[in-house]
Amino acid sequence: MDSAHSHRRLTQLLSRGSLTRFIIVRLAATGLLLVVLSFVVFALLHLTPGDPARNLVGVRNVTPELLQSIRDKYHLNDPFLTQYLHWLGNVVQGDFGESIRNNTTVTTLLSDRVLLTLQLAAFSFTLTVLFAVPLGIAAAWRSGSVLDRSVSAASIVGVGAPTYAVGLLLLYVFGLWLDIFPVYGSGDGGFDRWWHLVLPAITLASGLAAMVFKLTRTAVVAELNQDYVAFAQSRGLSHRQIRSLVLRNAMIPVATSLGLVFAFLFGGTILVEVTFALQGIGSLLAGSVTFKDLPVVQAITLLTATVIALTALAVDILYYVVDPRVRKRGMK
Amino acid sequence: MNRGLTLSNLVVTGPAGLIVTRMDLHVEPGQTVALVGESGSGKSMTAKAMTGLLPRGVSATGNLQLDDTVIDLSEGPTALSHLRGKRISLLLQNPFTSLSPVHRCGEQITATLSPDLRRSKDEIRRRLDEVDLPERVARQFPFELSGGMRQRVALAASLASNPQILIGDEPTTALDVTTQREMLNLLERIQQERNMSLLLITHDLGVARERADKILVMYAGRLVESGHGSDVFTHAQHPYTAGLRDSDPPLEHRLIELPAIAGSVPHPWEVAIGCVFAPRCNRADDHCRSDAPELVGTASQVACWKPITQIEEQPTLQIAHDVAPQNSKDPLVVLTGLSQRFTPTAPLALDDVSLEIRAGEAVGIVGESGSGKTTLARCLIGLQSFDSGTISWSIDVPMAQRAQIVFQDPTSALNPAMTIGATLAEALRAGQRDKSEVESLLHLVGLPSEYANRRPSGLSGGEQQRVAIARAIAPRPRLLICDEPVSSLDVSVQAQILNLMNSLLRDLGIALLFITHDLAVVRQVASRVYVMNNGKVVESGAMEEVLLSPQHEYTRQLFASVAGK
Repeated sequence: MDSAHSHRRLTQLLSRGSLTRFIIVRLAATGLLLVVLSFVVFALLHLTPGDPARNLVGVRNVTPELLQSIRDKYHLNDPFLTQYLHWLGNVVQGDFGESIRNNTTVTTLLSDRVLLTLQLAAFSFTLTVLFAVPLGIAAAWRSGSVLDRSVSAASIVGVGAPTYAVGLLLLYVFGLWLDIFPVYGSGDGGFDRWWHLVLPAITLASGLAAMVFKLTRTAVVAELNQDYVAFAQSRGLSHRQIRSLVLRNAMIPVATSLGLVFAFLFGGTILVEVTFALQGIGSLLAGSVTFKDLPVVQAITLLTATVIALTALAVDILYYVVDPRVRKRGMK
Repeated sequence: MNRGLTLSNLVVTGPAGLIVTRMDLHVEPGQTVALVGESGSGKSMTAKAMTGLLPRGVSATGNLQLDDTVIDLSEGPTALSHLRGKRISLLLQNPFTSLSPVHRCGEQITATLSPDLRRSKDEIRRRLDEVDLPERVARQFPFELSGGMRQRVALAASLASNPQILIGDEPTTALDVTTQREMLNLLERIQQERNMSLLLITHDLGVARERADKILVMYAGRLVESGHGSDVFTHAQHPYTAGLRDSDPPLEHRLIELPAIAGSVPHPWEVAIGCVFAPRCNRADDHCRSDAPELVGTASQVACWKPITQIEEQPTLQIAHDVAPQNSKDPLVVLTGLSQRFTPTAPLALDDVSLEIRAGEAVGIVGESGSGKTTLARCLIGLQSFDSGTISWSIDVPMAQRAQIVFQDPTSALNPAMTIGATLAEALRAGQRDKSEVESLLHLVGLPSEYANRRPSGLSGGEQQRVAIARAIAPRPRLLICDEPVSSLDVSVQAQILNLMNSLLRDLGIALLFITHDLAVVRQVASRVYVMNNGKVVESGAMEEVLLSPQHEYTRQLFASVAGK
């Protein structure tokens, strides 16, 4: 009786088109994607020219004992698949091995840096959304106006200007000349941390905001030209009602572009981190690639891929919520 | 007091020049007035000007009088804003785009009501009931409904604030024939119940003839003729009205040649002096070409220096016998038991369809949207795979020489970056023929050789369709498939293309598969016809037999739906 009830409840939860089923299937797909990615990332070690054990020794003195201990530790004498499963088992428990460059575990090395990069990404993402989306909507609504033309022109500059150049310019003006913001480092936590991130976040946001502005403007202009807007006007709907119709529809393409922006942000902080001497994962990745610090490169690659996959998942769920057509279709 | 609507001296000007020139119009309460014209006649712009919805860069002058309120249209769209919805409402053509896809139907219908009424379940039920929709529609999204149901939702939305005047801009054009009739009946019933005026904007002469108390005919931005009901067509005074009437293909018989009007509709701003119709008129003289005629008359009005008088004998049209099916000839292609399902849950797109086409024969397929007629064509040409069944050709030639296809919309079917000559040369190569034949191909479809250097954008819709036909016949296929080839064309141009198809059939001896929803059109071309519904062939036979004694219920229903013929 009770089990029949819970069975029915479960069937209902998993029925075609339900949000639960949608999320479960999408999560499964994301998980599968990450497994495939982890395999490729693991294979990096073996794709690098030379003996994997020697590569893992790094700059230390190569002695037969050291090589043997590394072979044992990384199971390098086992078949490839066994090695991979060992590695994956550790990764799942948060153990990416030891850094070759610094004699610490990769996990310790990453923990502070991931937080900083996430903070930087979140900060510039918020700035981008707060500026670009409302400006895009306003410009679309008054397309051809002074506001539209000036913001559109500025956005071309924003898209075109290289990140490091904008960063250096901001550093010079607000850091050195006006001396408002710090020029170096990531602060002492709390408010000081955010204060240090203002210029880097603006630098990152400038290019992205220009892109998001254009996408938002295009999406809203496209919606404004739809028949349903003319039909709403002809029926005498208020300005406010029409705006809500349009924005609800335009939200769908804008949400997609915002998902892409966040994914790009997390992997795209390198230049800014280097310019502002921030200890984030971007600068760590740059250094690790130079020194062939493979365990660190593997960890950062996998981490970035995970963030991108989760962002895609979030966008999919958002789609499901805002677009009834997706809800009806469930997933293809 | 309700005195209806009067529009006087409307002039609409766009960036290129005049779009509508001095237009007067009066609609009584409860009356239906039809505004008839081809594309570019200015009929939709008139509707937009009356509701203050002109696109940017387009402005209007003139007066709109509604009872005792007079509005000067030159004051811009805000002058009309307090009338919109409440006293004048507009119903648009395409029910697939005129509703917001992400909002529920109930919400869209009641958007203009007061917040109290918006929440009332009874109110929304009453509104849906008026347009014959069940209550559940309120909670549904537009994409969950059929085209006909969406258009009812749109109608309920446009009636929400109880307007005195409803302007329907081609309100049934995007619907299937059977749905079209239901929609027109519904409009008529509601109009009577509410004593509402209806301004029906349409290119469909049948609809105007059947439904309107008064008909106004527009051409190139000008009113050329107006009068009571179907009189306008039966006793047409303006040569354009007569031409339009005659080029509309009849259902009762097949004509040897449809009386088409030569050329195509000019842009209103291209007409400098004289009568707008003079360049296409066979009665025109120097006077017509130098001075523009005014609209004269009382009960019926006409703007023509040389109107057709009643005693004048109307030219008799030559009626042809339907071509008897050529049973003696060998089949060119035989389709047996073709079935196709697109997704596991969808109904069958093709359900055990068998059909044969004999060499040199013209076969029609008639059906509404979703009948499977286009899927069938795509299977036949190899653009679409199918689950089961066979297609067997009796000829052993490369695919390009078996069958070629002409689509509905020539603008999207031609590559805009290629010149007409290059397009045709490419098609000739596919049939291993020499590109020197481009010129003769152009002549074959009635286009001058100079067109080889033009691009599609420099051609009118009718001319583009001629190019698409030339491209299809270039590899010398044994079968020409035409999927709604005249549906996107104006009536006067449609007749030219149908005549062209008939002459090509005679001269080239190729077989034709003509797919359409329009019974009168297929009558003019095909000798045998298949009627399709929900993926099945429900009836087939010689054209004349099927028309005179339809056996299947669906075929009868289809005939009953044809308006005004």
